[in-house]
Amino acid sequence: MSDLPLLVSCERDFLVHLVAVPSEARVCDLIEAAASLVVGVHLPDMPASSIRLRKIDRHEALPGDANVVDAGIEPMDWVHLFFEPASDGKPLQ
Amino acid sequence: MTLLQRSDWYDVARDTNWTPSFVAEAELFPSDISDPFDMPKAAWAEYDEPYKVSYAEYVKVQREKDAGVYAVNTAAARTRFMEEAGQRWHSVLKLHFGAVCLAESSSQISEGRMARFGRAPGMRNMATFGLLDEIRHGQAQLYFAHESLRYSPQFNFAHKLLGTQEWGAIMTRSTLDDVFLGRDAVTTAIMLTFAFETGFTNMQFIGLAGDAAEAGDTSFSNLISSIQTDESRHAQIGAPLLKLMVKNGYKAEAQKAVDIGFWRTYRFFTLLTGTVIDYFMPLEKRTSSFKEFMEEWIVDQFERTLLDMGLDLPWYWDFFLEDINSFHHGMQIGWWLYRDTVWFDVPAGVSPAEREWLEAKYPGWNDSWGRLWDQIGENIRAGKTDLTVPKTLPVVCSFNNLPLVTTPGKSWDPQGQMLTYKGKKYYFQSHVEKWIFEQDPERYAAHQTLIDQFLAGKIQPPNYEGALNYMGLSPVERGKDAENYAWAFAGREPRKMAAE
Repeated sequence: MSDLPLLVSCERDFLVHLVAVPSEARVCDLIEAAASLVVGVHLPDMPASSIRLRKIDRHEALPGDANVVDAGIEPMDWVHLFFEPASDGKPLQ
Repeated sequence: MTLLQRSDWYDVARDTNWTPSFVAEAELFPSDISDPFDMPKAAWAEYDEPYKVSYAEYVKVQREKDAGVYAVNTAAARTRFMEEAGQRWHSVLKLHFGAVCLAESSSQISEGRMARFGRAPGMRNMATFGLLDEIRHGQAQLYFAHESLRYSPQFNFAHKLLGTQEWGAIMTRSTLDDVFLGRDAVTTAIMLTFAFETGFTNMQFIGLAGDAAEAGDTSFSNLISSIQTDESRHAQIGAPLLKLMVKNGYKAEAQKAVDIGFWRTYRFFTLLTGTVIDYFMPLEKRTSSFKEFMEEWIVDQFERTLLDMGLDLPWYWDFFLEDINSFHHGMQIGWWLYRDTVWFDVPAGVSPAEREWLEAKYPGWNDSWGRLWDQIGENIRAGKTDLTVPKTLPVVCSFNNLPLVTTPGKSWDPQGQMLTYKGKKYYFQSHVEKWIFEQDPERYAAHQTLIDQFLAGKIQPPNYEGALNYMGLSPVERGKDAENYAWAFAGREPRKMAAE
């Protein structure tokens, strides 16, 4: 299976990272890989269980145990990490 | 024999719009490289350059300028300024020389295009002198950079940068190609001389000359002040052209060229000048913030000039006024995090005193950008400097080649930032970049950003280290923190600092 190159941004961060995950990866694997670039790096540590992923132009979180391809993620899609519940009570970015 | 005054003969002598007899007018001035709007010859006859100079006058003045520049440099060499200037100032010089030396040199091509294919004799005259100016600018700045090689091999990037695949080089080449190397004479006159030079080189050269004088670098200050006197002459090629276009019914075409040229140039100078003014300059030497410079040198002046000429403000003006508060902060933290991808050592510029200054100039800075720096500083103090080194590349804008950034806490704008064209996904810094792309997608679609090159398999091994080598940066040339992380410990108990 080939790698899926993706654009990944994160709530409260400033940058979009290029991240590649194997197409057999689950959404939670993608979250873990992407969060390791930001959480504790640019942003304070957050429990992994609070991190969700959505497509940048959608509001609903993708199911963590779904395969990334089955979840509708295609090469060079832009996905966005966010925290739930909102870390400071403010609406999600 | 008594010589005539220039004003007695200039208008007659410069009138070289002869009627060709061996070729047709259209062959002499092909519209796609000369005037794609085909303004009537009678309209062009009204072009009147505001700055008139003869060749003899030009040579005399330029010789005096050069003599002054090199004399001051020789005198300054007897001081120990460079040895004592500190890394921050060295970084300002390395950044300037890398971004500017060969860019200036390459604009000989643009001036040459206007000198050959401009339809008005006055335009051709001014562009001829402009071409000679750019030779001087390229050579003088390369000479100064070369003299500084003894302080650091990074100064070599004054000459090396534009021949590499370093991301800033890709951005610079792409900008220059679009704004003034790959355009017809008319559009070049608008985008280069009006948008780029009238609009922004003032800020880079006058602003930086002032900063250099403040920092005590009389030689560099004198050099770029001298260059600016040329820029402000040949930058006047575009204004009379724009007036003609408005008068003769080509306002929409002129406006579009201004809107595109201004935005592209703005992004270039935000990276180059915005970061230097607000972060690189030692705090005690700063005169104004980047935003204040922009408001004084660009916003007020550009607004007045555009409206005086009968043009409108670019359609994105309100967004632009908002953008000057934020975009360069993203570029600065990007410079710093990706410091090993640039050819100079990057000062973080966020010591406690500097953060106070940033908060005063950009209210809310501490709550947005400051929070990122809080975490980075914490990691450094905990000895986790490895966490400040990126593991992957940032995604760059398909149009301007700069990393996509947003103010922390502010939403992205997927609608305005994404586009699929002929099956390929393109991503933009903002809806303005997307709009420009949409004006002429075939012009831009095939361009390969660093990310495109990575995905195309050109970077091997396909990892971060492979990318550094691909960008032409040897280990000694790669940037480091300019102050060995001292900023992260400022105002705190002394602790062991991790060496980079």
